[in-house]
Amino acid sequence: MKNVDAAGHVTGKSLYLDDLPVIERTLHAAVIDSPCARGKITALHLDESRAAPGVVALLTCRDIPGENEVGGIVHDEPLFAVDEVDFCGQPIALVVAETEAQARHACSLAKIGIAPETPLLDPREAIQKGELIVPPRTFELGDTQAGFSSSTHIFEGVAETGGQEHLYIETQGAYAVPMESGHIRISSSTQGPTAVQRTAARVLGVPMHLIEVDVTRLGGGFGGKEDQASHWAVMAALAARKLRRPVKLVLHRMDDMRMTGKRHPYTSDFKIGLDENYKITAFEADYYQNAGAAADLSPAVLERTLFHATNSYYIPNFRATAYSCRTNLPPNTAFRGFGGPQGMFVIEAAIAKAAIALGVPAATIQEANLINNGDEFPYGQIAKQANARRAWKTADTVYCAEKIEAEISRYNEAHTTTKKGFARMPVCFGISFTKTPMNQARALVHIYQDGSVGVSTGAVEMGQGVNTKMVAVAAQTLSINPGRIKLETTNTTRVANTSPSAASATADLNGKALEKACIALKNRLAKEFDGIEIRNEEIWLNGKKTSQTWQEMIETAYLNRVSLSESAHYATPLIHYDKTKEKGHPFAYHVYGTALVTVTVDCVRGSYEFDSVKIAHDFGDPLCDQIDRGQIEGGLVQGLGWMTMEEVLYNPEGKLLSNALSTYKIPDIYSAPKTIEITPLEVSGPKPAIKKSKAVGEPPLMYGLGGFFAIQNAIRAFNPDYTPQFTAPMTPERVLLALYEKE
Amino acid sequence: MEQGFIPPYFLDVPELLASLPKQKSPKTGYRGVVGGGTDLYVQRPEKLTRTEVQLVSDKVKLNGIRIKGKNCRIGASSTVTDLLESEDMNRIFPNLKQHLKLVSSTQIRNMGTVAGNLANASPIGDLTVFLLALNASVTLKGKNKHNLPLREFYLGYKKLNKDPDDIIKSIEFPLPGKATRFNFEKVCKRTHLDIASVNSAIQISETEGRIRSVSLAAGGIGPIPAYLAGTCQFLKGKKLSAKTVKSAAKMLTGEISPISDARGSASYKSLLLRQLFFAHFLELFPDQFDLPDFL
Ligand SMILES: Cc1cc2nc3c(=O)[nH]c(=O)nc-3n(C[C@H](O)[C@H](O)[C@H](O)COP(=O)(O)OP(=O)(O)OC[C@H]3O[C@@H](n4cnc5c(N)ncnc54)[C@H](O)[C@@H]3O)c2cc1C
Repeated sequence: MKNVDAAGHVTGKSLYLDDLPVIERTLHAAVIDSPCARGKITALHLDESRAAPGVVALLTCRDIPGENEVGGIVHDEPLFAVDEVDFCGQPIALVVAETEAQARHACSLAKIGIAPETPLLDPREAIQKGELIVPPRTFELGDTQAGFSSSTHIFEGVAETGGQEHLYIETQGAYAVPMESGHIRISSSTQGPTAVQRTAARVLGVPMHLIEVDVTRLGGGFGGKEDQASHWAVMAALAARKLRRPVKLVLHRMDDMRMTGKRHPYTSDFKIGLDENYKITAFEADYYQNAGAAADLSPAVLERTLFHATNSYYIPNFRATAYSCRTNLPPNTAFRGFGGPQGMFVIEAAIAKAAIALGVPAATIQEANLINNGDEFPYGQIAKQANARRAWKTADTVYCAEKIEAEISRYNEAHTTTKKGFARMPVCFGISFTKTPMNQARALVHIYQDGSVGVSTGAVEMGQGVNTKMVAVAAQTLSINPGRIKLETTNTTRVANTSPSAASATADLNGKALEKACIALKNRLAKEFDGIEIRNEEIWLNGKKTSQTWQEMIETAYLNRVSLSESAHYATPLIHYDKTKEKGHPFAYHVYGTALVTVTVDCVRGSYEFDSVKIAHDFGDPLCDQIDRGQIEGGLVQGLGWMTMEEVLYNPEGKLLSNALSTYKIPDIYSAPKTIEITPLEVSGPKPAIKKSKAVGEPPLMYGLGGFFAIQNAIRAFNPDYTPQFTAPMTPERVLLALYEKE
Repeated sequence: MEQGFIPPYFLDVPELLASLPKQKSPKTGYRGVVGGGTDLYVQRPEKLTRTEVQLVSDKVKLNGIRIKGKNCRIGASSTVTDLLESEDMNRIFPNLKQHLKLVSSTQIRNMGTVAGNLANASPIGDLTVFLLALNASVTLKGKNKHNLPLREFYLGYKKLNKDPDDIIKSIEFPLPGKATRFNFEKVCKRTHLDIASVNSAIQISETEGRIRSVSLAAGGIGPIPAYLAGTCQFLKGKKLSAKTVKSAAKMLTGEISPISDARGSASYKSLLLRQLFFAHFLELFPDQFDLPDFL
């Protein structure tokens, strides 16, 4: 099935927040933010801004009727700074004016006095000063001391990964419209409509039922709008309530880049022990997460790092501790993979380091330790339907990995100015929100008298194709033409208490609820009409096709006063987790895969090109093959970007240097691998996956990690004196300096 | 349009443009000159919408690429696409397409002008570095008309050797001789649509194994796009050998003063310039040199 949005997207007809028709008397808002990363506010000179042409109001923390608090997990983040600032770009005030240009001009007139203090930017420094967001967490399995004493080889090292800017094409924004009786309707570009609703209610000091949040679609989210869309929506709602006029707030690109958090940079220490057969006997790691100035989703991201610390491997003796460190950066937040990639990078770095020192290919160690059915993850879940080995073997045989490697050796012998590098990247990613209560969803289905169908769920379409999947679920379950089905906007008054569209679980959770609602409707119709059966738009009775059409049957059902609406609720069965023991069964299932990455490094210039990435991927039984392939390709390229050219840079004062599209680079079509091949594993999907089609949003991003190690291998082919460093991203700068290290 | 990708009103655009009132030149001299606006409108959009500007991109006198005797004259408002589409330019520089594909993107190449690139005075202006190696000069017109070698055009960071009222009319460069070779190199974080960490261009002629003439320019290694006179002087008349290239590469590093910024650390930029210098010789004399010769 094709993406239902494809035609709208390519003809520019799809609606995004900034395309909504503007209501008369709408005001426009812009944010005054902190120019300083840390300090006391000594003076706020806002009179000039207030007096600027077109300005209607200027709101600060003093104008908040409820709580000045937007923190979700920990209540530690004010909407507007009070008497100190904790990061560059922290909102201080909101200017509301007749036009956007006037609002922005007024912002530029604000003078903010701040007594600056030295900002904390390094997580290792933060922990020394005791700046932790939440207490550290430790996962343990077996006995690492015993494991290390039985190891033949032990290696220690440091691994570091950088931040990543979400760079959704559509920047953050919201449009709040005051309705009657204190009701405010907010259109928001958010992955979490309920988060926006809850936060707005808290800040405005009103019950949640007075806040309605509506989302048509997002021009990209990638996690950046899971929690951090709330701020702007709440500001617009605050102004709309106070001024009783519609208020629109859309961030400009540079404002968005400066004010919002990104993927968490991590710095980690690892220690790995192996026996003579390259089996990992023990692994220990300490992860220092750079959380930024407030908790945001950092504790949950931290947890997922620990859940993915062993990637696709079984490690019998394991201990990992993760620290969420408070620094003076914008609060870092969810980003596709949600801490998982940061965890996986460390174990892959440890394996690479051991392999280099032992003079064996990393693949030897990787393959020896792949997880099997019955093996225990460090968090107590037992691996079932473990496809790690199957993915590895599929990639090996389908793509003739040995041949690729042999060709690369020949190439490297014959070439002096370019070298090729190769790496295998296995991936195992757990599906479910790690916070068990979030694994629930609802759907509402209306069949209209004419046989057309309207579907509402809690899923937010953000380019990932979830609407197409929902159409497919409804069409398959009702056995009618997809053309009859329309996906409604995601709206908190139709589907309440939603979990954000995140954790790769959106299609599973909402799809299951939708499937339940459709089954209930189907059963009700069957009961009403003597046990009829709907088969592909046809109505069958007692094994025979009738002359009745779907449309006629629905019309009759309506006249018979049968309810043609249904709402259903789904909660993932089986999953549980006990944080006090750090054991449980947190994931409905795991997604597996293996990527083979080949790169060519230009040893004169330090630049590189990915020749190919060949993937064996665990789809289950794909519901929408094209959508899933799109997610795999996109995730891979985004992961490669994070590992290579995407570099979030701050200066020592905590100011963002990579603050525009000219200084922050994501992969374009030319830097994407020349070939991307995807082979599905020949396995059936698990039951908790919607129609047995496995979740696909996040896992493919981690194939990109292979890019780092492939480049590193090419560098080693050129410069035998290079001491491998495990610091990502592998920018052309790092590559060139490595090629000529110790010259 | 039939497929619905382009809205029907596009058909009326030429007419709409023609119906706009002709813009009068502001009386206060030549300040606020806008070429393609690809730099100005990105850097200062809010200010520009509030100031009066003089649009020069369509001025007939400022357009056209012509060979006149032993010189090539590029009208100031020629765009990068104009260069790409010029038969003369492609004949003189057989690798032009490959080199200019490294400059911005199709949309920006269609709008951005040569004069805009020069007047921008960005230390990494691609066309600037390209033209510096061609020993180009600029014709300026303000109170009077005069011609200035491009390498004397830059006084310091974003400081131009010209009266604020001077506008660039054209750019001239002498046609390269038969034995002359030209190369342009650029490395950035991302190969396409990115700004150089370091870029460099060279024009070199060699006969009987000796370097007869050489001009080398580089960007990203100091406050201005630089003509590397010292290295050029060193190379001139020398035997074309790996030893010469290696010694010259040592000179190079003494001639530059890169700073650390979002496009790379100072030590990286130094190393990168050396590498691009090697790349020039590897590209221009592929039968004579291989990378290991320089290491
Ligand atoms: C997405 C993007 C990518 C880019 N990529 C590159 C790149 O790869 N390489 C690169 O070098 N640059 C790049 N640029 C920068 C810019 O596009 C170029 O420098 C371009 O050549 C500028 O020309 P313009 O005509 O648009 O200049 P404008 O923006 O019109 O003007 C720039 C400056 O030149 C002055 N000026 C213009 N014409 C004249 C004249 N005739 N006489 C005197 N002064 C004049 C203006 O007053 C202004 O100060 C990029 C820009 C963008 C937006």
